[in-house]
Amino acid sequence: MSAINAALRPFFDLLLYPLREAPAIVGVTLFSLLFGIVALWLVKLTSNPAKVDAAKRKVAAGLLEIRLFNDNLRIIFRAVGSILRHQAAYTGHLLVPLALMILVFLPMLAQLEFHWGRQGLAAGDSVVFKVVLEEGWESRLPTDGGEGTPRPDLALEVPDGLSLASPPVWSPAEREMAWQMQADAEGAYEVGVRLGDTTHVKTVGVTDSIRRVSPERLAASFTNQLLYPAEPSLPRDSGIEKIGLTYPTRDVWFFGWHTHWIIVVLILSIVFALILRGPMGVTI
Amino acid sequence: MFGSKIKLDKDLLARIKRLADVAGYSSPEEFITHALEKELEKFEGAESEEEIKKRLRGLGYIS
Amino acid sequence: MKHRSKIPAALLSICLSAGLAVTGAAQAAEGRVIVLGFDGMDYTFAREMMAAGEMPNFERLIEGGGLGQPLGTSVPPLSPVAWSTFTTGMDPSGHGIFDFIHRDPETLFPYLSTSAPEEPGRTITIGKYQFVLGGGGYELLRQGTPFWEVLEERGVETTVIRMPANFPPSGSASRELSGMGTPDVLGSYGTFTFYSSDIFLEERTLAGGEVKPLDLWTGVAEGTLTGPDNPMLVKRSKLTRDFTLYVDDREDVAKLVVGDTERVLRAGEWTEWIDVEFEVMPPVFGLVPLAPNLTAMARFYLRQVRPEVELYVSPLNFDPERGDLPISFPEEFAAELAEISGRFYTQGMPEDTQALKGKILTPGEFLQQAKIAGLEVEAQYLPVLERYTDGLLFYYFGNMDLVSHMMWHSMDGEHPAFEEERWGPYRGVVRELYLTADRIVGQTLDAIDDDATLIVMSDHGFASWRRTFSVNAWLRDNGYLTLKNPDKKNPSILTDVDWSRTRAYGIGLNGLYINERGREGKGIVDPAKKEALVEEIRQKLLAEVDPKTGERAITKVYVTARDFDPGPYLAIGPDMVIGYAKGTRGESDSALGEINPDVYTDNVDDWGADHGMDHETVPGIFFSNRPLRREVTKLKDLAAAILGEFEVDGFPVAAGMN
Repeated sequence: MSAINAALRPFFDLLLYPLREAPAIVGVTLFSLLFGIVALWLVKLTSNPAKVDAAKRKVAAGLLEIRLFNDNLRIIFRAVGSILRHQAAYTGHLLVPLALMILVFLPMLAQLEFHWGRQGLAAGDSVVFKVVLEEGWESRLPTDGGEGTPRPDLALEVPDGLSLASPPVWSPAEREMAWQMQADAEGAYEVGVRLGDTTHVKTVGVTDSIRRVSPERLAASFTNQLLYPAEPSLPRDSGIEKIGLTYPTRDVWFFGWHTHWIIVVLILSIVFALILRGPMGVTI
Repeated sequence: MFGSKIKLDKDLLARIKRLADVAGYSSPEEFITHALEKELEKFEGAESEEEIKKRLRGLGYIS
Repeated sequence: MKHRSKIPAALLSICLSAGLAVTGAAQAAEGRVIVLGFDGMDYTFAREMMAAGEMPNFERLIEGGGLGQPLGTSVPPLSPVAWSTFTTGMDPSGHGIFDFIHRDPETLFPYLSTSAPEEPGRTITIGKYQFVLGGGGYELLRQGTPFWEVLEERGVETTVIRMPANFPPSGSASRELSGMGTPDVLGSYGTFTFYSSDIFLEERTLAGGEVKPLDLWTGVAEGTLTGPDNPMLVKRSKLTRDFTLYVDDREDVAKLVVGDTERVLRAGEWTEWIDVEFEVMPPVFGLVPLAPNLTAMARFYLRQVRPEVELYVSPLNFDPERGDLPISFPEEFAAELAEISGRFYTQGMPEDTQALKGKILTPGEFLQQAKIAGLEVEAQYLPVLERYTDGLLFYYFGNMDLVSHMMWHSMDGEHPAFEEERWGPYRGVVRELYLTADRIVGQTLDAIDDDATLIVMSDHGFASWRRTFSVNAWLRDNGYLTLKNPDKKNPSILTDVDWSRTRAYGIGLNGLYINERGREGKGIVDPAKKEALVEEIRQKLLAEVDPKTGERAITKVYVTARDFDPGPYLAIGPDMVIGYAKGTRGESDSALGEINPDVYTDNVDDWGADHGMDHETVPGIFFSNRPLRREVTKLKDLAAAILGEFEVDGFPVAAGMN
């Protein structure tokens, strides 16, 4: 998964580069069109149009039967049974293309979420930047030897353009070190998290255009990479569970309605698929 | 429903029934409950003297 | 973190520059007038600073033939009364605001004079939940026709920002934002909360605030914010929201977590506005919401983390971006302002004087909070001014009044509450307020050209408040008010007065009422004998001498039926309005109908200055960059003179005509 994401990240960055200054709805519409076409193409490639059509006609026949013989209970029951059976068959015929769609679209959607689902910090914004350690860190990581409860030997290296507005708060119960961080100027930054002798980096995006921003850099695991592909995993033995900050969420304008982009993609790709199924000769 | 029975004057009950019907209450009980709750609120202090004064003191001019 | 949605800021500029269609047959009036209202700006003090060369922009304002004179204020000289007089061009008999506090003549319950909550509509009850259908808003109690309505009728576009006693907004200007009189989320006029981990600190209610515990355990402190009653529950119960503070064990710093928001703050630091979300009804199956949550916002101040954790939370304010309370007209105007210059205190009178009076904040901390509130209003002014093209712009600054109330007496070494150590360092604060006003006037002069009229005015002046007079104690001592049980502690007119032997009572800061038969619930005074009684009390009050100072305590007593205009709302006001001598003011508890032990006391409160006195002793200011077409000597004249600049007549509008 890490390798796939490593390839997908620059690919999507490049793909979305021309759209970075346009309203998010423009990219969302273009991708919906692409998703509609790909979905139709997958259906065409992997389903049997004759069988799909037959199942659809059987369902329609059942509905007609109910309308014509609506005073005959026996016929109605039989028709309902037939409808359910053929509806299941219809769904079955489209199961393979559906499974393929999930496989193809999920990594794409996960990538896009970090372009359209969040926005970068604005210059002047102030956010909490935090490092959460894995359980049992005490036995694996160096402590700083200071007074009070033991705390990791952990410090931030903050580039120009960002600054720390507070000393860290160490919460032993949360295994978390948190700072208030101020975004001073626009830019794509890398904050160094120095833990003992090792330094890990975390990206911080201060921008008002549409760029990939990554709220969390997580410990290595398949699901983490599947759902948070915006940044590479932390090395396996880092002792860190996550490094994160909160970006503002972004809503997409859709005919006067402000909503999450994925809802718009869902609606628009269905609309595009319905429009294009005729010209593309696909039966759904 | 009332947990215990309460005696009401016959005429009053008839009036309640009529009004409950006209005002769109599902039953005379619902109407009576509503009316009593509203009346109780007045006494239990939807706004007691202290609460009102506390709010007015928030103005600053009155300490 | 709060999410952002982009309301185009351009929308505001389009609104502000778009002309309004001319209504009626009258010819459209033209003109440009900007009115800056500085609440509580004192004429004498301003003139002294000008003479010392400290207010160059005020000098610049009048140097080309403009005006600079005292402005006669209203009777009584209290902000809601004065601003309503300015708004309508009428005295209280025409606008119905006689004091901060009025009373219900039947029950004598006190209430805020300017707005009232409306009854909620019918409810549908399902189990323990109720759904309220309509109602439940607020009603503006100020009567009469505001001057901007007359301008709008003549095609003049008007913008009225934070006019006091204009909540909910009148809806007759092109744009309005409400100010003084706007409640917080609790429906109060500002209720802060102070949290402390000190186990010996008693949980208690103060005037305008609450003190609550913080549970501190191994560096984690937990507290609960209390919201209003849950509107969805049949049984009254408060909405609550927990928060957590993670306290560092080395540095004076902690992380605050409220809902989804996290904020690391140092001891002594104030946060920006943080959302406080109250769940009104749990979503069905944890997913489907049936009722929207109530989202308020608050500023947090981490006072200290050691030895005890102490946190001040501002009153819970309505979020101007959400529109849950009608604070602006059109409704989205408040959100547009917030989009341009950030979210702001939506409650009226946001400077937290009560936290200072309650000794929760120090004078220095109060000034920090007041500065935050003042800067929000200032930050909004410049964008509004930039977008202003023509018509009328009224913009109100309330910071000077509330800070003067708390700081003016730092200049008065003989004030009973003055201690050099506590107040000495703040001797220059009032002066700084006037410097700020001067800077704002300068920015305005720079932004406008020669054809625009700029008026700078205030509703009243200021005076040190040293001595306190309890009108109810005086009425008792003079045989006009009789207690059922003279030994009862803290008696109140609501419960402890023998009305069969009581002829008069006081409510409000300056109001005195006769217990009139047929008007008061338990009235005994024959209306035919009222006039004589009023005159008798008036003479006695005017003869009052403060035993400590040997000077008169009261220099004017106005008889409303005789001295006020015969407007339609005369009947709701008091029978007499007391004009205290400069330096004396009505007692606070007496204003709410309590009967104090003593008539005279020293004012030892941190609220050390006031203006609720003889109106001639506390005039406001009237400055303008040119002579106006109509003469102005008092507040009541001002609106008609503003209309005169647009060559519009017909103001004030005779009562009953609106």
